[in-house]
Amino acid sequence: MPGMLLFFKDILRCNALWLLLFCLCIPGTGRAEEPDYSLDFIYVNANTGEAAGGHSAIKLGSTVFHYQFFPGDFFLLVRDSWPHFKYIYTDVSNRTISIRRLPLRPEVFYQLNTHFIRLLISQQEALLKLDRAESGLSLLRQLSRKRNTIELPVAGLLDNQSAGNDAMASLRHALEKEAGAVGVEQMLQLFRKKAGALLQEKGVAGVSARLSALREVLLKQYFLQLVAQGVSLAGDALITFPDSTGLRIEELNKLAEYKSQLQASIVHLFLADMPGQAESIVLQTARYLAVSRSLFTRRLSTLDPFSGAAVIRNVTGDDDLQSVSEHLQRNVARARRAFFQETVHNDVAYGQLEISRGRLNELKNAILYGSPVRGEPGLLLPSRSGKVTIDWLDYGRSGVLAGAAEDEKLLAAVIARVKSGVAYDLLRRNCATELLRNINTAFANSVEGREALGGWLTPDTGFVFIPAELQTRVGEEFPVTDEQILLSRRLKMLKMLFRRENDMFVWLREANVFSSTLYSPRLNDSTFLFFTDDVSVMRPLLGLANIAWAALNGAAGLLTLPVDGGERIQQGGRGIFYSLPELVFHNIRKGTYGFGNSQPVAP
Amino acid sequence: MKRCRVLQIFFFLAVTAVLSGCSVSYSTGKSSDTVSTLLDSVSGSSTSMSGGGDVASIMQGYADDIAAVTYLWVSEKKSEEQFLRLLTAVARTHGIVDWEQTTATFEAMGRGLYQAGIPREGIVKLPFFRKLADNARYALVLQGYTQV
Repeated sequence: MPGMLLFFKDILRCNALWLLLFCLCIPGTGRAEEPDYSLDFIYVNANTGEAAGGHSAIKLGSTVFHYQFFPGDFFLLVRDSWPHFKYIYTDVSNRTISIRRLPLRPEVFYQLNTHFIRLLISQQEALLKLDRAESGLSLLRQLSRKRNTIELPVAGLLDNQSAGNDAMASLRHALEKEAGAVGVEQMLQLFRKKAGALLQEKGVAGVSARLSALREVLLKQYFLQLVAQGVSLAGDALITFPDSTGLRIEELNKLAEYKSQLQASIVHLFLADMPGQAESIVLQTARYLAVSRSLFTRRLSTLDPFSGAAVIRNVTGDDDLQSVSEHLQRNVARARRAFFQETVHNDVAYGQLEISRGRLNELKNAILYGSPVRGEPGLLLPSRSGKVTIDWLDYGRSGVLAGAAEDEKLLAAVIARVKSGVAYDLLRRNCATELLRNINTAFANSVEGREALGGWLTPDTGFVFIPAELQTRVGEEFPVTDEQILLSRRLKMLKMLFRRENDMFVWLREANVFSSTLYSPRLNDSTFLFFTDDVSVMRPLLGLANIAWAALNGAAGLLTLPVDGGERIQQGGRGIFYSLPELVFHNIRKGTYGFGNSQPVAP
Repeated sequence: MKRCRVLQIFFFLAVTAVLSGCSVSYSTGKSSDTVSTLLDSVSGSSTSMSGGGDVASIMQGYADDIAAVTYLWVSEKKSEEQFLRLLTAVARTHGIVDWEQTTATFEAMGRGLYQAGIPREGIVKLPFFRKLADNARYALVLQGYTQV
C-alpha cells in the first residue's frame, strides 16, 4: 500500500501543472489583490458546460475585464471586481486560475485602464442604439395597428384605473408650483398636441430619433395623466414581505426625507426636459408612491425590480434553495442597513434595497408556494411595461405611419448591424482574440505598443485564439515576471486534506464522487465516477471507467425514461462526451459547486 | 510540452466545435443552476457592464464611466443630445436615475474634459457646458478638471 501511495503522489507531482499548483500556489487573498501597476493575463482552465474551452481575462489593479456570453447571442466586454471574479471561477466553477503578471509604467497602466473603460462605454452606446431601434420598431408596429392602447416601459408599475391618491395630490401641487402656476391639465393637453404633431411628421431626422422622441412624449403625457388622476401603484408592483418588521422612528424619518427628495427629483426631471429621461420620471413617481406607502403602513414596501425580460425557471428541486435563501436574507439586511445609513446617494442605496428584496421575494415564493423564480442580471431598475391609453391620438394624417414599411426595414437593418458587431466567432471573435485586440488598440501602432508593453502579440498569431495557448504565448512574447496559480476549490481543499490526513486514505476517499467529502454530485457536472484533474498517468484508465459508468447510467436511463423524460440518458451522454478527452490524457470536467455552500463575494 | 500544446489545441477545437468556448455570464443563468445564478446576480447586484457592490464602489465606477462618456463625446464630436442620452443610459446602469442631482457627475465630466485635451477656457464654449457657466455645477466641473 505505501508503494501505491507513493506512486499516486509521484503522478501528482510529475505533472507540470501540478508542480506549479503545489510549488507556486499563492493564496487567493495574496499578492494578486495588491493595487500595483501591472497588466495581469488571466487564464481559467476548462470545465463542463460552456466553460469547456477555457477562459481568458485581464486584470488591471483590482478590476478584471473579460468577454462573456449573454442571452440573445451577445458577446460582451464585462468589468468585474477581482474578488468576485476569483470567487466565481475558483470557488463556484471549481476552476484553476493562472496569472501572468506584466509590470507596467504607471502611465501605461492608466492608459490601458481608461482605454478599457472607454471600450465599455462605446459598447454601451452600441447597445443603446440597439435599444432605441428595437423600441422604435415596437412602437411603430403598435401604432400601425391603430389601437386605443399601446404598451410602454415602466407604465406597468402604476394602476391607471385608480384615483384620488393623497401623495399624488401633493406631487401635483409641487409640479404646478414649479411650472409657474401652469395646471397639470394644461400641460397634458400640450403634450398630447406634441405627440400628435410628432405622429404626423415624416421627419428629416433618423427614424430611430423620431420614434424615440414620440415615445418620450407619450410617456410624459402618461405621467401627467397619472398626476392629474391621482393614481396609486399597481397592486402586484409592490413587494411587501408578510414578515417584514415594522419601521423604527429614525427609519421613518429617513424615508420621509427620501420621499421629499424623490418629489423634487420628479419635478426637476420633468421640467428639465432632458432627452432620454421620460422613463426615469415615471420610475421615480412609482418609487415616490412606494415610499409613501411604507410611511403610511409603517412597513417597508419596495417596487418589483424585474422586467418582462426576466428568465423564468422552476427551481423547486434545487438542493441549494434553503442556503441561497439565507444568503439572500443577509443581503436584504445589509442593503436595508446601507440605505438607512446612506446620506448622499439615496437613489443608489434604495436601488440596492429594491433589488435584494425583489430577489429574496422570488425565492420565498419558490420555497413557500413552489412558484418559478425570475432571473435577470445586473443592477435592475424597475421597468415593468404596461398598457397606456392613447384614444385621444388622431391617426388621421399620420406621416410616421405613411412610411412605416420602409422605416421598419431601416430599423431592422440597424438592429442587425449592431448585433453583428457584438456577436461571437469561435476563431475570430472570442474571449482571447478580443482581449488581445483591445490591448493593442490602446496604442497608436505596434511600435508604440511594443515600447509600452515590452512585447506585441496580434489576435491572428498562430493559435492564440485558444485561451490556454494565449497564456503560453504571453509568457513567451512579453516580459512577464512570474506565474501565479490559484487552485480550484476542490484542489485547494484536497491539498489541505493531504497535509492533515493519511495521503493514501485521502486519495482513495476523494478520487471518486461517492465517497468524496469535498464534493456532492451536481446535475450540471454530467455523470462521472472519478476526478481526473489531479492525476496524469492514470487519467486514461480513470477516463475509461468514467465512460463505462456514464454509459451504464445512460442505459439505466431507458428504464427511468417515463419518469425523468430522458434526463438520465442525456446526463449519461454528456458524461461520455466529457470523459472522452481523458482517454488521451486531457481533462475538462472538474465538478462544480453552487453558491449555496459558500460565502458569496459581491462584485 | 509540445505534445501537450498540440493536444490542447486539438481538444479546444473539438470541444468548442460542439459547445462554445469562453464563458457565459453566471448571472444570466444559461446554466441550469438557476438558484445559484439568482444569488450571484443578487449578492452584489452585479451588472455585467458596470460593476456593482457597495455604494462607494458603484460611485467610483460611475465616475470613471462619466469621464469616459465625456471624453468620447468631445473626441468623437457627437451631438449634445447623443451625449445626454448616453449619459442617462450609463447613469441608469449604475442605478442613478437623476444624474443632474449627483455632484460626482459634474466632477467626472471635468475629468473627461481634461483627458480629451480641452483647455480650461474652452470648456464654456462646449454646447452642454455653456448652459452651466453661471451655475454651481460648473464649479464642480472645474474642480474635476483640476484634480486630474
